[in-house]
Amino acid sequence: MTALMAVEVRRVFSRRLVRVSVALAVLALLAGAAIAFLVSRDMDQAALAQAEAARQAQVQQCITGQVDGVPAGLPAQQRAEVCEQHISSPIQDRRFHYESLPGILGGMSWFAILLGWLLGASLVGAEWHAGTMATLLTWEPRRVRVLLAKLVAAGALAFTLAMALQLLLGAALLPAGLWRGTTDGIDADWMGSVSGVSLRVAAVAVVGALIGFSIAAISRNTAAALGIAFGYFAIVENAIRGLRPHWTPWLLGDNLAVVITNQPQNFPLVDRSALGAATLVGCYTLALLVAAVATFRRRDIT
Amino acid sequence: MDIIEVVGLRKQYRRLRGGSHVAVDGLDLAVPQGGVFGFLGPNGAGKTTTIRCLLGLVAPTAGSCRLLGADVGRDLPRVLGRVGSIVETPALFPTMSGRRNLELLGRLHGIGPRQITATLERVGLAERADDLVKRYSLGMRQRLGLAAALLKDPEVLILDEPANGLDPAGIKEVRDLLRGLGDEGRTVFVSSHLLSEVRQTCDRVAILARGRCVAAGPVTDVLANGHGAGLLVRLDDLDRGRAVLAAAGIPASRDGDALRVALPPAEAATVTHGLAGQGLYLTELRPDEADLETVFLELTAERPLEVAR
Repeated sequence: MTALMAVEVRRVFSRRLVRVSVALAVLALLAGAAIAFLVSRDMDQAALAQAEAARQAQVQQCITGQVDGVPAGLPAQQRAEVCEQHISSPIQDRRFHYESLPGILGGMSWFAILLGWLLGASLVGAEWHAGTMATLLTWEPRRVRVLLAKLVAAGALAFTLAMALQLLLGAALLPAGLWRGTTDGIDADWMGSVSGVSLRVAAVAVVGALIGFSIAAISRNTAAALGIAFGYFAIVENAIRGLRPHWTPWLLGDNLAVVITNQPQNFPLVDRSALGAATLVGCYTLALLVAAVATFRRRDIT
Repeated sequence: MDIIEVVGLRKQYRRLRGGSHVAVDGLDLAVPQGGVFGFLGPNGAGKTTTIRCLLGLVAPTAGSCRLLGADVGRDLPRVLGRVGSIVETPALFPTMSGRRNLELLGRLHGIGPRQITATLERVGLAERADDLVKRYSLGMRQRLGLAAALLKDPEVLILDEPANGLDPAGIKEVRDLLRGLGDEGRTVFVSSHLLSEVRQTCDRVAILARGRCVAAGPVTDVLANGHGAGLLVRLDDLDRGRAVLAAAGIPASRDGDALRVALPPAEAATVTHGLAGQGLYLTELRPDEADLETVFLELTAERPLEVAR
């Protein structure tokens, strides 16, 4: 089994699609970081502090009812929130706040899911397309082992790639934080938050890879797995949200979002914690994996 | 012990739009140890399906296959390390080099680079081993498939049309290679439609038609069981020669400028003695053997009654 997994991992990293996908992802991330660097501006701290003090004074005036445009009769707390949003600083803060990295990484999660889905589906779909599955099975006929080795390789690839890309993005944005912005707020809590987001993004990338892999293993086709991904996320989920809103708590996309944000969600009828969403996503993934293994065990390789 | 034993093998494929197709229909086959065994049959006879069943790629609908004494359905992993194979056109990763493909397969059985290089040299692919497989010709892919089959240094080789796509020189190389492997004591089970190659390469042969074995045994026996097992005789006076043989109780018939005599080649002396005794001297005497092609076409010809069964 170890040799089989080692072979699968080597095979994965020898594949052109993997190399091209990684190269494109790296280029996209570097381009994003370069844009962040170019549009950010280092600004005078004293001027920003002065502007903020002026804004706070205006907010206080707003709370006491001395500013037009804020509805009268609001409760005190709500009025304070409205004023906070209503009053903007006279100087726009164009610094890059490196502290916002966890949010940026979380925003990357859909990209990670789709990349994982593509690579997972292609890993097994290409084998069917090239006919190499038959060749492999004449060397290792234990089909469950073969499929599990490929699954592990797909999951390991998705996890490694997601973590590496997030690390790269964090490193690529650092110059913007250091020279065109601020690194204020970076402390142990922030590090914990970044680690948590990174792991959750990598985990959903693995989920994407395993689901894509399972569908491609059943359909024996990469394109079918990608088509199903598009059809499900773009059409089925949106149709359900519109036509059957009470089914929303059971949608894959919504539960993945809960996992990524690590925030409980009050779905219609159901309150779901991040752990509950993760469990549901895990059950869906496991069901597809079991179906893929069962199909592969019985299938004639023609 | 027979290296390959197939008993009552039947494989029925279901079609997506309903109905089914019987690819193999009650096949019995026994391949003894050592030598080259030819597996002949027209397209669609069930050769590849039989090979897929032997390698565990396809589950039989009925019957059983044993390979090196192991039941294919249960114990194949135990013996597959001793079996090298090609199924149809060898399928390897096109975007990797030939060597890289073999390295990845070889790692599954702990085969190192030295053996890979030696195998590539053996099949004549060493110079192009580092090129991508997608740049290989069909013949080169076939050689790479042969290399993959030989990589395990197997006791048994199961090869589906290994000469497919090769040029004449390549076909001769493969023929010599298979013959050499058979002479080493390995068992080579090779399906082919190249009858001349089978004749030159194989010790034994089985002929498959419509999913069933219609003839099996040593190549000479299969040929002898064809329509023309006898003697072909030429002499100046054919009519008198036929009369002399008939008087001696030897049936003979005229066929153009020769007589076909219904005696096995081992009894040729009876013919020469009988004719010479009457002053008739032969200009030609040779075994009247059917060629493999004739036997093959006769045996695999459509027979409506059998098809309807």
